[in-house]
Amino acid sequence: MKVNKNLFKWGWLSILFIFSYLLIATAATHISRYMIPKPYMGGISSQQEAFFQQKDDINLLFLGSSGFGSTINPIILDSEMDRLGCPIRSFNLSPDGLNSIETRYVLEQIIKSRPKKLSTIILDLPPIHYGFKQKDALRTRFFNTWSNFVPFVTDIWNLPRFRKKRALILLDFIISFAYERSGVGLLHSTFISPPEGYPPAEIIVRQRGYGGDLEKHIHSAEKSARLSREVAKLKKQIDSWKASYAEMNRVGHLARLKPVIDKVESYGFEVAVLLAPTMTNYSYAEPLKQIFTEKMPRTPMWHYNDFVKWPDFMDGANLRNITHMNPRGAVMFSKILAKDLCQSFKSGELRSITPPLSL
Amino acid sequence: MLFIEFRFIVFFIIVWLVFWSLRSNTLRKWLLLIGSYVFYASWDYRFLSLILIATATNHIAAIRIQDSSERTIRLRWLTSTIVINIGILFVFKYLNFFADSLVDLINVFGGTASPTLLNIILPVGISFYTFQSLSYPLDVYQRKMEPSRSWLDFSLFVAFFPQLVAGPIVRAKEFMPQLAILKTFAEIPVRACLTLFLIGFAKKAVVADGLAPFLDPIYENPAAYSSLDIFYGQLLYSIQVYCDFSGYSDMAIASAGLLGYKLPLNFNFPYFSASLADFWRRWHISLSSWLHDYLYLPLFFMGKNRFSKIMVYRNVIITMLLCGLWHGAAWGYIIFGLFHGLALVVAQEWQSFTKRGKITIPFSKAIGIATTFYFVCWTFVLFRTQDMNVAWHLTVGHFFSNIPSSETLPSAAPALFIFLAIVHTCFYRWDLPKWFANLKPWIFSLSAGAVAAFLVAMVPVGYRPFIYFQF
Repeated sequence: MKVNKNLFKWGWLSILFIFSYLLIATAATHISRYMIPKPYMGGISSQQEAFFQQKDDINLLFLGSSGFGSTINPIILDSEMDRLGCPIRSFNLSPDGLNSIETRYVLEQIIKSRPKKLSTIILDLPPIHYGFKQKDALRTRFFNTWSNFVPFVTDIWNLPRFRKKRALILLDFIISFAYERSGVGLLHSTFISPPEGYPPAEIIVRQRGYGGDLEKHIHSAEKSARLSREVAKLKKQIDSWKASYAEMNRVGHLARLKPVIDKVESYGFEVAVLLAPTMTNYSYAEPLKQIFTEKMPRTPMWHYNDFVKWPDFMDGANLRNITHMNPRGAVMFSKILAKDLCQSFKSGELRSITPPLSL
Repeated sequence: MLFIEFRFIVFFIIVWLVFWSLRSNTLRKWLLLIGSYVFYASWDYRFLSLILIATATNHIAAIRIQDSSERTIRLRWLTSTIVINIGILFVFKYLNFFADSLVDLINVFGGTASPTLLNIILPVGISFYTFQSLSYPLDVYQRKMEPSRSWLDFSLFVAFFPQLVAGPIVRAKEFMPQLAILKTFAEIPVRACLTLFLIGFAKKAVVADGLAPFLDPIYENPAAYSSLDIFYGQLLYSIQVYCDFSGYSDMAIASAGLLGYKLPLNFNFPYFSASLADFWRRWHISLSSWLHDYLYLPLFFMGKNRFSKIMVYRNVIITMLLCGLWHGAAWGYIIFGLFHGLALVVAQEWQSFTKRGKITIPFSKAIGIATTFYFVCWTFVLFRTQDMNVAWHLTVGHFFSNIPSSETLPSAAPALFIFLAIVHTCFYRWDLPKWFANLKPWIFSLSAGAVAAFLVAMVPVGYRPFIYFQF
């Protein structure tokens, strides 16, 4: 009888504890939803500075993560576009691991700085991983809103290709929900930011956002062949595995960026999204494009992850590693991109390169 | 598995629920032993063998010491177990350091030698459980306690998971009698333990980890900062290291308390110490007292004029040198120990001088607290960085402001320090944990839930290991 009484007492107190915890955690989630986490500018400042030094000469800005950094060579792109009759000056602002928080911050800085000739901004859509130990990923996850998130989960849920993976999608969703609702780091990432941010890795100030040793990462034939085999193996794995959560995250990420894109567009800039050819993008490019075009029909989106159409992108000789191109691959891709961009300008999918009217 | 990780909370809740649902004390101890091994294996299962070796050698040695009446045999068993345990500690923690230092020494004297360093991983908590388990045969040898014949009890004493990887260093004579008693849930101060756990969590996860990103850049490149920034950086680092370690100790004591076991206090507001000797009585108390009992006092029996001033000072310096070395295999720690040893000697001489001359210094307590805190902050540089150039820069930069600074700490740093100092003082002046734990049960539950949620929301993303794990 005594045990039962104790059990009842402690059971009741535990319920009160859990109730109070959930109440405050949910409140924190709701508060932080409307606040933007502080940007970590450690890896970005120098590149941003380089851009601002020449901002009034730039027409086209690529803003993305290392996927962009290793894939788009603005010097090659500009000369190729010039040759094709679309003269342009581009800049590739693409520090490692750039995510939506910093993308948003940089975009806002660009609006404030009023660059005279900048017309088009092409954004990357880097993934937000679920890995609990990845600092960037964790911060960025708080940037998602469930009101945006849930419809996308529903959409993915209903996609025919994911019908057999619904249990996994549901599990991902439940874990994410529990984790985010428990409030881990919500307030900290919103209010506190280290002065210099991370990573404290070497920062390369690039002339045009791309550069460095052009011979670096040009591999021997043997290493290239090995890399090709690795890529082919990974492609096979990805073909049999559908990374549903990654798609959700990317779209969630974009959903959070959407107001910023709208704002940037309202100032007369044109925004487009590009998924550069990497194995990371390959795993979710197609379904993502499907959802993206449905949700944001006005914003052009291109992806180059069709390895049947562009087999060279899978060739180890053109890759630094399985997720990044080497300078040779970047030259090749920049030429293809230049051709397609020029065509888009000529066809009217993108406006021609002229200063925004509102400036 | 860190105490602030979600998986530890899950692990602990499972162990806790099963523990209190068992009626047999033996079954409870088996549960805790298996749980402790699982806990340690989550770091690296290979090093469980070292814990088993420490358990076996000390247990056998203690029984043999007890069973023998001949002093030489007793001494032989004690020496054997000390050699085995310290030998293991030496190989895993100090071998590379001494080999490296020897090579440097040979090179300094014109010889040629190249280091052949072994790829040795430092097993987590090895310094803690080695010292803890060694106290057992030492106590038995000194007839301070009788050894337990139970393998289960001794194995659990060595491996008990709340204190396994970072202390407090528990004495067998304090802990093992507790194992004999079947606890009842009614005698457990649940609210006090939960309060202590929340305080420890706040110290570690919110304060210590929250300060780290501000302080890391200073210690990576002190040359870029002004002396004022370095000064605030050192003040804040002293808070970080205190919150990190005492936070762990609080959570360890609370976890053990929730299972019905009492662990000794490890920190007692050390930054309010009015002297350095007082500081070491309040900082990492379990280590200080271990060194006092098993090193400092026995040193008096080595040499003539046992209780002369010279002997006292010699023993203080040796003890502090080894205290520094206990923290890590690097010259920085040794110098840290040496500074503290010398400072203790100077402080003792000063005290004698003022006593002899009947000199009274106004506000002596306040001055004592300030100088002790300042000295400790200053020497903690050697805790934070093992790069002597960086340590030198921090030391010079601390005093001189002619270093042109290119980076600055956030302007909130002084305010942050003052805020944390005020909070700490409030806890020192008033027993806030006791007040919180004595709230009405339903108010306590609601408040604790709210505090826990707030703290979790303030946790910086990405866990940092406890600073003292490296020791």
